Amino acid sequence: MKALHYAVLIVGLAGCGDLATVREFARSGSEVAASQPIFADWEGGYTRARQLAASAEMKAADPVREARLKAGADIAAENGPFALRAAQTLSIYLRTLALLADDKLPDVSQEAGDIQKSLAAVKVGASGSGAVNAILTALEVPLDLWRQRTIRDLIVNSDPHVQVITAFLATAAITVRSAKAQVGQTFIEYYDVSAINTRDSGVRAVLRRAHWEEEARIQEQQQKAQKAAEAFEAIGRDHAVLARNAQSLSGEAVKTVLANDIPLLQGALKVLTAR
Amino acid sequence: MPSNTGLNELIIALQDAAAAITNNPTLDPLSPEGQKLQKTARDITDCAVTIGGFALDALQPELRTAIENLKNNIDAASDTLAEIDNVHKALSIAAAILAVAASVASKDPVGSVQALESLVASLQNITDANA
Repeated sequence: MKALHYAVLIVGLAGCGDLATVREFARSGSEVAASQPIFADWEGGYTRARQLAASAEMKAADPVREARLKAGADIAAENGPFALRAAQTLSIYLRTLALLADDKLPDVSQEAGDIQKSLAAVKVGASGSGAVNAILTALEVPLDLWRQRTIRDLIVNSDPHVQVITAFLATAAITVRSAKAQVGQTFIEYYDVSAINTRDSGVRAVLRRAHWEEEARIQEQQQKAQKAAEAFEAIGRDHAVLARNAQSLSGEAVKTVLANDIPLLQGALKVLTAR
Repeated sequence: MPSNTGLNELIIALQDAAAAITNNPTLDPLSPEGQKLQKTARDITDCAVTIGGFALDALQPELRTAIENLKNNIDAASDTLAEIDNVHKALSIAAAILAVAASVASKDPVGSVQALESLVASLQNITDANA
């Protein structure tokens, strides 16, 4: 009767296996959330720009620049630490999800094999070793059910929180994108004001080049922030799909959606970690 | 569900507009027209940052709660992972003990099997209770 009970469970479990896509999504998402230099440098980026804006030439050219930079720096000071904390929590959560989605976790066949060999060595009869092995083999089933239930509960219970966190992080990344431009444009303004105020054509040429180099730097920094925002949006979107399909995490619906976004996450990670 | 998609799109659109205004290699940025455009781009960027700040302010109260709740969920899941791992460890120890018993040709193989059966049964009870 007990054997029949486990046979039914094993059949049920056949549809629950292969969480490789969930695992890959969670691992990639965790790495993206852990690699957030854009938030770490958010407030610090304003320091030099504010010094430049406080100079007499800059004040004469744009009297409100300093106040606007201060407002931007205040937003960074208030939200930067939150963004870092949120990203760190999200990263740990996704790492835990990846660990739970490890299909090999409840595999006790190695232990069962070792015990069987030892039983044979101590010359225990077939009935004795058979009883122990039957229990060991059956143990894998509730162990995996336990894991499957934990992963389902974790995803469903955490989804509302993951949605809040990813929405915040995506907005924070997009605000950082604009903050990078705000800081960079102040440098550009400084180069321009200095160039207009000089009669030395050589210095002018140098400052003009600095202007264009700053434009390129802004674009590069903005690309990082944009990729981070897209990655956080994808994590939130995909997690909602997991929550909706918590009963069939290895189903095609989940696999298709995650498989589309995993390259996006991996691409974002490449951009974010590039020097 | 919180969603800032509309605001995010607005911020991106504003920032893209600012970039398009300034990133024009054919226009001398030091000319009066160039300077006027630079000023416009800066004003647009300032607006984008301000909107981002408002959007983040609106999400902050929810964010604090979400972080705390998610941490609690992580702790609970980690405990389960640890318990599953403990079952593995207990089995590994059982396998190791029996291997030693086998290597010294224990005179009480039946006793070893009974002890093992008892251990496995108790592990099974733990997993049954949680499955």
